[in-house]
Amino acid sequence: MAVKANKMMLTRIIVIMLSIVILFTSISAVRLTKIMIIDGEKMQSLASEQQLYDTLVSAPRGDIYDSKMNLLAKSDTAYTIYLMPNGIKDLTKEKQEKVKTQIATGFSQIFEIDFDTAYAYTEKQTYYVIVKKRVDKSVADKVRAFLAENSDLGLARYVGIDETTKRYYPNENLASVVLGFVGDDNQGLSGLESYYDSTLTGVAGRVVAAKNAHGSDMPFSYQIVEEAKQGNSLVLTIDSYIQHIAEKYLEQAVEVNKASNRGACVIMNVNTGAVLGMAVKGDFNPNEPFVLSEADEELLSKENSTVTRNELLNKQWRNKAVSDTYEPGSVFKILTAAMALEENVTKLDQRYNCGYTIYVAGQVYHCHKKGGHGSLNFKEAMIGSCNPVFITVGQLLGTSTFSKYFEAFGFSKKTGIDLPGEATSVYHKQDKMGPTELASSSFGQTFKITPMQLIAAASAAVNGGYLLKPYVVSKIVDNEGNIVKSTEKTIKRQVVSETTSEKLREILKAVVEKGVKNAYVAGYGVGGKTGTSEKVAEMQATGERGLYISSFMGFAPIDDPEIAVLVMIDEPRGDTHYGSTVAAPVASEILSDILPYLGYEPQYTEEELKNFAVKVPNLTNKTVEDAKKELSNLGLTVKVVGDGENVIKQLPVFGETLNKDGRVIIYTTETEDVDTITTVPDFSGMTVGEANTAAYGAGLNIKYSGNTTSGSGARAYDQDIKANTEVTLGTTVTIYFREATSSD
Amino acid sequence: MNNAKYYNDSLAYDFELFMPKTKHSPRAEIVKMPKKTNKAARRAARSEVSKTTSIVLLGLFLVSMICASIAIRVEISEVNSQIVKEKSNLAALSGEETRIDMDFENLMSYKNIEAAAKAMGMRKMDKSQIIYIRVNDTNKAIDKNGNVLTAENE
Repeated sequence: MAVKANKMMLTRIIVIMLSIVILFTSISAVRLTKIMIIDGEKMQSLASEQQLYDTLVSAPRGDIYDSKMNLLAKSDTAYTIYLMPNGIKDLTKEKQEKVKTQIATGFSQIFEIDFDTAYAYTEKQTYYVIVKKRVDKSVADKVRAFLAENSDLGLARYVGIDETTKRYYPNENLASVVLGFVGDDNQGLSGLESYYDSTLTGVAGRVVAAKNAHGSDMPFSYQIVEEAKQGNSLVLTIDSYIQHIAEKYLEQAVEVNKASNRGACVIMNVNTGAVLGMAVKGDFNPNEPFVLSEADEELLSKENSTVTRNELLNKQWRNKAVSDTYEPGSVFKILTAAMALEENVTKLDQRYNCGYTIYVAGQVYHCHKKGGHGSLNFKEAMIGSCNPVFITVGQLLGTSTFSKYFEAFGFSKKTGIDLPGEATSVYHKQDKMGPTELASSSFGQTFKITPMQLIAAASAAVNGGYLLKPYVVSKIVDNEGNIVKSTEKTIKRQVVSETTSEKLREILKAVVEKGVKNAYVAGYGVGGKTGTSEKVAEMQATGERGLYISSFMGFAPIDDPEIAVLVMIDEPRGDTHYGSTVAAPVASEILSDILPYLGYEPQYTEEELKNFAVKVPNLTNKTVEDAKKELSNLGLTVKVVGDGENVIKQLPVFGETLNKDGRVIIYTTETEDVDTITTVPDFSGMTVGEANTAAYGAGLNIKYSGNTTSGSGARAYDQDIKANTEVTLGTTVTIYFREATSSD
Repeated sequence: MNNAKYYNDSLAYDFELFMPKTKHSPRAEIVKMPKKTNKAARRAARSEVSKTTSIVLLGLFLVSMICASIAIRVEISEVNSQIVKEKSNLAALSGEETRIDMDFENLMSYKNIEAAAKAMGMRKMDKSQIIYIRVNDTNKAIDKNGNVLTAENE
């Protein structure tokens, strides 16, 4: 009996023990399953965090070059200086004050900020505050030296230096709206930096190293390094020189004409679609994209100002040539003419009568010329930019044909240029286009397109009819210079025939030769068309009158065009607002600089050669009589200062050029007692003859810029040395002339 | 041990079966070793010394290896920290080089050159001062005797 009881006891004990073992094993298994399988990844990462040191290495951003491989944007190491204000609070009151004062003194000297601003950083209720972002090594070194000098106060515990990257734009404002800029995390925020962000960014690398018992990493022994792969670089179609020329003259025009809504200029190769220059003024410095221009700061600081800083910043970053639409005005007549000639609706010698007004479906339209042009042919209608003739031609085309060509010229779709924020055009769709809409559209009003759409379409009209896709990036290269991708010209379609294109070139050449003389460039055949469009919607919205957009679309050399230039000045508020007087001179200046640069040799006419400037000869040590004779033979006049026999000094100096009848001052004695300083007069509004007289009276020489051929009626609108500046007698002042007559 | 009680005269009861048996330890077999000669004894002694020396030398070798290993690790660690330092210097100098390059590019920009030229009183060339020279497309060189060498005649 006792034996049986023992056996039962034993069985019970075994069962209980087994149950306990199974229970604990099950709990452990469940727990292990949770840790190893369900939370496996989390646990693994926690373990890795504890045992490994894993750091991402940001990839250097790719560079941006112009078409001649001049650097436009590059990234490299910079430093962020930060402060840990809460750390200072652990000190005694007395020591706190000493540390704060010392830090504020150091920061104010190093970062050139006032003491109070610097002191305010130390007062912040935070663990971490950035004092200065993206400073150069020289500044970081100054901070290091400052910390070392104050090691007794232990400032290094409260001030830190972090390594970061900085994007450099060495040419500052040059092509800023095209290039764009990057944000704090090195990501592209606008322009090409944004459009090609993934190409430029590259692939980040990483360093994984084991941590030792103290938690610090053990490089080399237990370390895996994945090198960061630098982003690819962009090679643009833009040429820095052409871009500089475009920006220089555009800026001058915006300033002289007091344009209140900026200006844009696009220069494109009509045969490839490559954009050689794209300028917008006012623009910004991409090294400091959040800094407003002085004028904008002034506007913002006005008491009754309705604009915000963000609005002004967005405006200065905006690429007006791509992201803004406008009514092209008479420049669009190039396209209406192309449609009409292609459809045989008109001929170059087809005659029309302009009686100043024309009625379409009860709506009256006026010609810009008071009294009308009278009888004229189609070519003359283009030269005179006659609205009634183009309305007539438009009506003959009809809404269906007009809309077909409007679409074929690419106005109904974006151009597809590789820039962000391309705007969509606003226009009358065929089913909603009546005779009045067709009438106003025929001369470029009541619809809105981008300048980029216009230059692409107008280029198609003169290049044989081929509509091309414009582009600004010609190549993408890796960091070893291998070409990853290159852009070829893309023909979208042929819109008009070569014959029509040739006729258009003939018309546009005549427009500049006989109409828009301000676009004339000595030695080169230039063709083009001006435009002056009213900003009807803006005037209705604001109640303000006289808001215009002045533009000019030019081509050169017109017989076999390569270059197209579109200049557009938004809301000029100066003496004039016509495309022929505001925009055409800009295109002329640009073309006269870039055509020789592109290798086009000028072919001067007899009249142009007659107006050529004369090189001043070397007169030093010659007798006064010989000098006078030599200058007279060159068509120059002379003024003798002193009573000596020989020339000891001359103004202008040897090699300088003067216009015919220019004056050379020769000095025969040392002339300390002679007044050699004169004041530059204000030449604005003067004709060539008046300017010559004024310059002569002031003892100055002048040089002409712009069209000053006989009978041009040109008047001065700007000068390179400002009025009332004191200069030496004989100094040459360049005066910019333009035709005073108005033509849209 | 008195075993007399296990002896009796009866044949039926043999108490001798229960008599404790005396364990006889086997007699050790004495093997006579050959007598050592003096020469052999010396050899044995030498061998003993050699063994000890080997052990000592092995020990020393192992200690020296451990020391060398530690020294090499220290050296590697120092070189590594030097590499890290030099890499950091290189990165800083590279950044500085870029900054200087950028300053140079900025100074050499068309805008700045034009402004500097204007400040020095220089002017844009007049059209009359530009002479266009037509260059023959063929590459040629002139030797010291004045002979014209082209790709065709060379």
